[in-house]
Amino acid sequence: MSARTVVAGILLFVPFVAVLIPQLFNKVEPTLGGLPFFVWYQLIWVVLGGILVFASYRVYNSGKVRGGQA
Amino acid sequence: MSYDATELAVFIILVGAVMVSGFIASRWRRGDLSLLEEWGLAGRRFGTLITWFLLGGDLYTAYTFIAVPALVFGSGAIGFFAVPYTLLVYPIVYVTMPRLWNVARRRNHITAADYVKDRFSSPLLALLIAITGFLATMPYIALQIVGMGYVLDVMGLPAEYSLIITFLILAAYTYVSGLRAPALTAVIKDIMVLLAVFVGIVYIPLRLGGFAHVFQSVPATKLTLPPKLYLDYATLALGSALALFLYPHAVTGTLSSSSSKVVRRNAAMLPVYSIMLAFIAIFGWVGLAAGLKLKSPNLVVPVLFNNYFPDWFTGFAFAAISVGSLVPASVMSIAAANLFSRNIYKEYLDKRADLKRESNVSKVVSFLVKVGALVFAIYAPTYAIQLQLAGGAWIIQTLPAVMLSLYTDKLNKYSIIAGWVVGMSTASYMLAVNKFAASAYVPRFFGLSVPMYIAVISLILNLVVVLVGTLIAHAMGQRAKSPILEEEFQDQAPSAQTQAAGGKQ
Repeated sequence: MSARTVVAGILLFVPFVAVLIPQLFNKVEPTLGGLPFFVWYQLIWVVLGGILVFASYRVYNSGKVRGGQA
Repeated sequence: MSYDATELAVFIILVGAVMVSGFIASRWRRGDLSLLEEWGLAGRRFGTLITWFLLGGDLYTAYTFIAVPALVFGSGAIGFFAVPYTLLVYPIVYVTMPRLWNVARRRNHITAADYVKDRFSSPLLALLIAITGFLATMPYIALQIVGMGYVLDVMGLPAEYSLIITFLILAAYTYVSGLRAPALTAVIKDIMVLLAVFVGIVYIPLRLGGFAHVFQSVPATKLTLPPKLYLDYATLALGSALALFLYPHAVTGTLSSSSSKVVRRNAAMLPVYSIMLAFIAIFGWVGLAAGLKLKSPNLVVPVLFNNYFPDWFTGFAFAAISVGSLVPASVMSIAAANLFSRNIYKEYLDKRADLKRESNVSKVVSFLVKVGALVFAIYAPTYAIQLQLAGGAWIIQTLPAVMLSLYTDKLNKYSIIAGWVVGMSTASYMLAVNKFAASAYVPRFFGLSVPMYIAVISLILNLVVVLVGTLIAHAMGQRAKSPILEEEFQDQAPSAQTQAAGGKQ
């Protein structure tokens, strides 16, 4: 496995760690805009999860010969 | 309850309009609808946007509007597991579905069972995959029926009769136009849903004094998880995420897209749905803050809209929820029907069936599936979400055959069959012990004292059997060669160009 594949894989794996360990976010304070930490922490991961998939895609394809992909 | 004329009129006009657009859809990008690939996959022609709307049908359903907020309303933070669930779906889709799309395209697979049959040269394993898909889809469709029932209930209609009428219309329009109808109506549906949810989540908390006030009014015990539910929360999220794209309708949605690139792009576009799902889940806490007293927790979203909005908007929102139940139910029933006609009917009942015959069988079966789901719906548990979670505990047992095999050809097919038997029987046993009313189980055989999602417990047992069996088979020198080569899983265009360029230099 190339370093690129490993990095791309890690990027995809990060959200699993972030949201499957409730000990990390199971609290009310600090709140954000009235939302408990439990809620806004996971909301942020909804967005980060999408960004990480995109980042993984870019990392994995960065070394390939350009074949019509941006 | 009495009904309101404005609310009902808006509701009927909108749902009716969506139905008519379904009939018109059958003329859209016309292909020969008597062929199964046309009726069931719309000729694999859907681009990024349509695919996105179609896959959205898997995330925006009665599960989202009715079941998730109901669990938050009734049980608190545990119901929010749906948020980590849907966000973990993107990396899983991204890693697995483009490979499935590629191989399915090259070998003309329409269902996951088609792929499995080819991958393992095993009609028996394919049959098991088809039966699982067929079985697991029914409670998921039932959830849609139940969800719409609650909307009609709040509108004051006799829910039983309206359900049957609506489902006859749905069945008829699915029968006439196949996957094209849900694809077009999915676009209309998502726009309606986005509008209703957005307006609702801005306006209702405002009426209750803002989010800060809403969450302060909710008992603290309902805002976070008790430590004994940590594992349940994590396994509900993980198990649901692993299960979603094993469902026949999710596979259908994926395979009907026009390229593996479209599939990948979609994996990164799904967060829009998850954000909305999270906001709809918050309605559960909003209902608590509003002090609603409900005869069923599943009523929380319909009652909130009914209480806080003028009738015309409530009618609109209810139409959105109903269409949001009907469209997925239609996609699900088509997918289950495809599975039956190809992998059960043609394989075992009428080997000489031509494409036209196959397509006709699909149409009839898609109707029968809905009838089966109606039966599940009649015996629905207190929390509608349990229907979907039961389906998940079954469908997840196909993970070794459908998903793991995309990456390795080393798995032994008899071990996968044995793993399936163990997984399905343990999952069904635990569901039965819970009387299908709860999805968590304390797995004493793991020495744990806290509950876990049944799907994950049984999947672990399944995987252990698959791995041990495969090791034994390999030790005995049993190594079957898969007829599918690694390059068939990979994208065509870029690698082919690279090779051609490299060869010339």
